[in-house]
Amino acid sequence: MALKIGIAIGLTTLLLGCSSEPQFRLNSVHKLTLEKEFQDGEPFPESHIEQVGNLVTAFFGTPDDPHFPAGYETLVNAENLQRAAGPVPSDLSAGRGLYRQHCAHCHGITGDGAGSTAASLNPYPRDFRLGKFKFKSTRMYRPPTDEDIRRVLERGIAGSAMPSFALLPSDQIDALVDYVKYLSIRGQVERALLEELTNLEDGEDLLPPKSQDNQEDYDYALELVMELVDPILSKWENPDAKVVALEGFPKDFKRRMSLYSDAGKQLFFGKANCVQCHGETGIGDGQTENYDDWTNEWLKRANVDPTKLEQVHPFLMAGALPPRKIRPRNLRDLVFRGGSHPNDLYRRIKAGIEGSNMPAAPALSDVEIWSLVAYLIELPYESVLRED
Amino acid sequence: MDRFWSLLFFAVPVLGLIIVLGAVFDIGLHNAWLPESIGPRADGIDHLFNLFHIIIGIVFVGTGLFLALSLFRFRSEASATASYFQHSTWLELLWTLIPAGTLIFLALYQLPYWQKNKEDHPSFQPGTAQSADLETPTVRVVAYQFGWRFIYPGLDGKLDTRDDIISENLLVLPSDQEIVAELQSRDVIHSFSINKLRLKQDIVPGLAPRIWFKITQNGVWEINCMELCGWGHFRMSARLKTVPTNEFDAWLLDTVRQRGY
Repeated sequence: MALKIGIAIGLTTLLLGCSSEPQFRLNSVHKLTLEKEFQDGEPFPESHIEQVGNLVTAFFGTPDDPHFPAGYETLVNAENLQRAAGPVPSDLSAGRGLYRQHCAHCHGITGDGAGSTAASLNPYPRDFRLGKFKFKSTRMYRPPTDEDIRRVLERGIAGSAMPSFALLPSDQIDALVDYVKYLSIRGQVERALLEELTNLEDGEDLLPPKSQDNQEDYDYALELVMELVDPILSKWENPDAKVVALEGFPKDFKRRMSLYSDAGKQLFFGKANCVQCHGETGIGDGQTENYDDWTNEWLKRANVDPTKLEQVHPFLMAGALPPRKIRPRNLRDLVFRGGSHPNDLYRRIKAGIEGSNMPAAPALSDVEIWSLVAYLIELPYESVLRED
Repeated sequence: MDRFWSLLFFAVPVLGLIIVLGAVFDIGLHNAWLPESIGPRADGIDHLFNLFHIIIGIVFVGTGLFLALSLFRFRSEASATASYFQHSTWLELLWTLIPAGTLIFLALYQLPYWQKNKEDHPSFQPGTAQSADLETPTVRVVAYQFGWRFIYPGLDGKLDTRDDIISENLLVLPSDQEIVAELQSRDVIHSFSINKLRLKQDIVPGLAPRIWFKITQNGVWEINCMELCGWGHFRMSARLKTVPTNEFDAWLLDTVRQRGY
């Protein structure tokens, strides 16, 4: 008897464990958000959801065989995509499955930031599907450059669970950079298609099934779909052009650093009002009641009260992680998440940090920003005790 | 059939002898017995390793041989009879005094190595009241989940000033120079380890243990965390690069230039 059970278990694991190819998961949280926001919780018709899934698969392929929509193949290197995708081979020199080996257990196969270890990490791993990246050199609402993603992979993010992958060979990091872009773009397209469902009339299809007599309808619907997809993809073209220029670097910055730092301190507590969130000592204890964009995305849009379990619960069941408040950065950490070079700090202040509550600073002049940079460099070594 | 068992058990001391000799004299699998050594500290520890290995090997091979011989001599075919006796003062003394003597010898023999690696701070002068912990270390190692941060005193020679140089997951050190490192942890217990130097030191949060060592080879090696510290423990490794002193100084200057202030 025991032997039979053992064989049965063995066979089941063999069949289930080895044969099922992982699939991208539907963005159920966004689906639920849209249902609550636009149609009082009335679910989308199954056929519509299926059409979204089919379209996304047609554009982007599967986790084992990813590809890019026609016309945009140059956005990422197709060979890199194949190397990062697929199952982890027992012979690692085969050069496949990099994403699943290094990233998927936190960021998930779909890049939804809900891998198996995600719930136990604080902060949560990034959900790439919103297309928002925090630590980048480009302007707000613009995709990051390859170099930006690469740097996060190489340095890791101190203060989060994101480790450094600097020991990986450079070409493997390149492959992962392209795969992160791929997952991000795929997620954005899926979201856009789900949003489009709310605009459909009764009985209308996102993309009607193709047949002999509706060729015209089909082509028209496909054209509409491409009108949604094109702007998302073209936004990722040539991100280098959107890099925040470093302007007005004072020539005497190094020499008169303490002067600039003093001016920066005035701004910190005054005009720039950094103190409101980062706190009087800069350890990030000012404003601690906010959520980031990834959480607000469903909290705000679906009007969910995070303290009410019965409201949060459906989203948790759909795959969302329990909402957690975002902490402003501790400025005394010595190392900044997005880089500690003055140029990095300038960009963080000038362009803000997308997805967090750190706003861009259009009202500050360049000299004022550089002064704040000087103060940030000085701040970790300043006593937390007041001088008076 | 009986002979088969005694032969099988005879294979144990034979294999044991091969392994002991192979490991101690580094035969066959070069650098697979003990990793390559990159400094005097590793040489000392390896010497102890090998000595212990020889002593343990003698005991292992001896008992193995005794077992195999007994199996052979008293197998049922040979019909030899064993003698039974209850007490032997001579035997009791023998197997108490020899192990005790061996252990006492080992305890005393390893003392200078412990002294050198854990007690004798390189700048310590016997007979003075100077505390080594007040001196600025060459580098401060800060371990966190899951990575390493290395903080150098910078050009002013003092830690905790704006002039500090911070390097993430890359430790550059001058070779042929005694290094003093201060270890800190920001969250949980980590362990700083340079395998090729046989160096391992736990880092308990709140304590700042000091270690010292000397690396005599130039090259790139790995630093690992040797204390299970969370899900990312397997990934908590950093690179150690040793270069001649003048190159190290150039690296420091270059890092200062590149940081932009």
